[in-house]
Amino acid sequence: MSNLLEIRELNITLVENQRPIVKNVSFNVGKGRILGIIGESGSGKTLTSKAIMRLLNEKIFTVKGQVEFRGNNLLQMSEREIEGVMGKDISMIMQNPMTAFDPMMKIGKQIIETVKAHLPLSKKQAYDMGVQQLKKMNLNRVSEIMNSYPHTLSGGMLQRIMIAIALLLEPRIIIADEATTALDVSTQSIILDEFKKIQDKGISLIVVTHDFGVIAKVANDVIVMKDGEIIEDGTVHEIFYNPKTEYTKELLKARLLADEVSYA
Amino acid sequence: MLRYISNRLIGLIIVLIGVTVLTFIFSNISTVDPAEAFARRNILNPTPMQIEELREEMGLNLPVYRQYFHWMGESMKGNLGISLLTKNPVSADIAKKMPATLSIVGMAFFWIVVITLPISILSAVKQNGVFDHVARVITIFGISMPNFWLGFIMLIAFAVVVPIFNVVDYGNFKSIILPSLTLAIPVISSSIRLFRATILLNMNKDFVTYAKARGISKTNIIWKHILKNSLPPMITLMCQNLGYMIAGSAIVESVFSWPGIGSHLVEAIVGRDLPTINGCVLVIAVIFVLSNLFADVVNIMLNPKILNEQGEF
Amino acid sequence: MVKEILKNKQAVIGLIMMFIVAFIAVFAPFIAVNNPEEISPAQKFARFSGRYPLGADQLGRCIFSRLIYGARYSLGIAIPVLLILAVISTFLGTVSAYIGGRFDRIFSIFCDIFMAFPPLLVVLSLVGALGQGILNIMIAVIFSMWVWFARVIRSYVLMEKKKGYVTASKIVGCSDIQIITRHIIPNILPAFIVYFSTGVAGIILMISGFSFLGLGIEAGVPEWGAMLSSAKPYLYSRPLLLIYPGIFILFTAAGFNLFGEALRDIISPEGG
Repeated sequence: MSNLLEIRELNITLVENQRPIVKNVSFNVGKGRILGIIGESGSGKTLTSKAIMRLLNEKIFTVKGQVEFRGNNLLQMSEREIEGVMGKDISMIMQNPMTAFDPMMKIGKQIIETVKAHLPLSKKQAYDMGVQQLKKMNLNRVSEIMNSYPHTLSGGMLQRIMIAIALLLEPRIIIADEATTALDVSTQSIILDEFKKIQDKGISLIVVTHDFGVIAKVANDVIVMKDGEIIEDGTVHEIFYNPKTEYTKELLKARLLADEVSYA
Repeated sequence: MLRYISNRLIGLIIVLIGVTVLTFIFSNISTVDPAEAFARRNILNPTPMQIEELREEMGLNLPVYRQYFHWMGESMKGNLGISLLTKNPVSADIAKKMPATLSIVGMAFFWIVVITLPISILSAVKQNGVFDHVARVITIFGISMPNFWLGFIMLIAFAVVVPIFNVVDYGNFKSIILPSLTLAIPVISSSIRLFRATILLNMNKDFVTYAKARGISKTNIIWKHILKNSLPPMITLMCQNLGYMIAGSAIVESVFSWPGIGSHLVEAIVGRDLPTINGCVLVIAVIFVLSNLFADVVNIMLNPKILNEQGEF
Repeated sequence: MVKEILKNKQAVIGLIMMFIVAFIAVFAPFIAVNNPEEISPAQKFARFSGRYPLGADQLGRCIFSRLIYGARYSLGIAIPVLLILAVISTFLGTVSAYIGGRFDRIFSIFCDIFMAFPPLLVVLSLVGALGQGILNIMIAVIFSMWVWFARVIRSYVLMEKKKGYVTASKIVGCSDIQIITRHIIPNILPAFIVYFSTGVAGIILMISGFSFLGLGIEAGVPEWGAMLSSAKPYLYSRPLLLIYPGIFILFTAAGFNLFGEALRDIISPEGG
């Protein structure tokens, strides 16, 4: 199994007081695999995913280490180069669909803008690409959506639009940061099904979550993070049936309890 | 949309009625008897009889609410009364003085837009850089400076030390530069601070992170997303400033001996010319209300989301 | 909080400047070298000397002493005005937001009407009606500014009201007055101080502006704005007469602004 993304010795410190927040994190993402990163809030999972995409504010965080993607270290690319990779080869699904879109720009324009940032197409061509992609996501009245401002659409709908944008330019890998947290249960499972379909296309996924339920449904491999470090990794099967650390056991137990409560 | 506009219009009418009532109250709490004042100005040694006659003529013997409706009715027809000082119709005096004020306010507005935008953008984009620090120090002095003093400093600097501007003649284009700058600089300083803070606030928004994640170039993120989203509070502020500057022109006009509405109002106050005071206050307040309305309309056209947030008055 | 203020350079500079002005105002009789109102025609436009550290003005009065006494007028007017404003606007803003409902809506319309007048305009028309004098200017300034302060306080209280603790206190059985005085007001206090600190600067500038226009303070009083006004005829011949008072106004207003803005950065750092 070849690796698409290799993260080596990733360290994130606060600029202000040099306090380390993410420590020596290394992991791989295999081609066509779904990697789940799980941890509680403050475990460094979101920072890790953002650091990979170079989305952290340099004035606040110092990022060191290697993020190897197709023979290049993403962390050492120029701003111009990284702009070419983002949204094209690596795309992202954000946590809160309600705030992720520019509130003052119509959805269609935001889609066109994304296409045109990477491909030398006309506005019309970019628009058609967007329409096609939205239709593939089983969205209805697509031209109406294209002409809407984000605040007029529901969270579930915006999340699907975000997935459509993530898939738009045929990326190699998609990072989803708590992409289902803000959604209700039924929309959540629709979105998770979409993740499976993405995998079927041979695209890798990193799913960042605090919810073992999400991991159980979609992931192949798992890393467990706590206080900025990876404390355990393995396949989903290994983690679920043979957890090595107490912490993972606790997390799993908490998840089971939560299930019991919700089923009761 | 329609509902919003109608709500807004009703609100506007209520505010305008309130404005006239308040203006009327302001003038009626005066301890001066306007009939007596008018008589003393126009008749040598007026007798009580003459004063009474005048009172009746001016409608001042009527109950207060009828005086208000009378004044209001006449104001709607454009009749703001006769000035005690100039003996001209107040509306004619205002119409004569307004262009001079509007020309410095308009010019000041131009300075504000042209100077505020680039400086605040540069300051915010290079936050905590040298430029940002210098801009912050200068603007804090800008908002702490009395603008009449600034006017004098400029007069001394440009008229005496480096005499490039014609400072005494009114009417000449060069002569407008110093007064308009004097009026603009404090406003520019506060606007830069506000706009910079708004831009910085928007830079940390989710939609900027997402735009980066989609590979949108930095220039496009700044211009098409961050700045566009920072504009609405700026537009509101700018339109408010328009009203402030018309009122604030009183001070600058006094420094530069500029014959505008502000100095006209001050002269009226010193001379206790009530009809003129009322007229000027009413006109300026109406301009202020309308420019605020204009700001709202522009903001809604830019960002329909506002409608959802404040649909009700 | 106090520790953070002392760590912030801008806040400390602002505090020191405020302290200097307050010191000058309180100890003016000891700092001034001459009676600020003493006229000595022989000393007209006297140059710098031991007796007249900054020279004398057009009536032979000691400029230095007048500037020192000016601090008393500036702070002596601005601070009482501010305190009254604080009481009125806190009361109205808090009550309106706390009661809410129709009362709050009517209050908002009332505010909208007052806000249709630029503050300067309200003062001008009130002074026009009431006549001149320091007291009238103070009333006029309060009348013109209360609505802007009350609006801000009201929005702070509305924000606090949404937080859980108000409901929680009600459940525990606190009375409305207890909730307002023990919970809401202490919670909005920092934002309140920021707003009022920059407010002082605004009031100082406003009042100096009026005395410059010859409204409010009689000629001859050593108030900075009035000094500027009476020095206007000597703009070209004796520019220093105009420059000094302005520097004092600038220094005072800048002190309050520096402190207020630094405090705002400390309270809500995300705005920069």
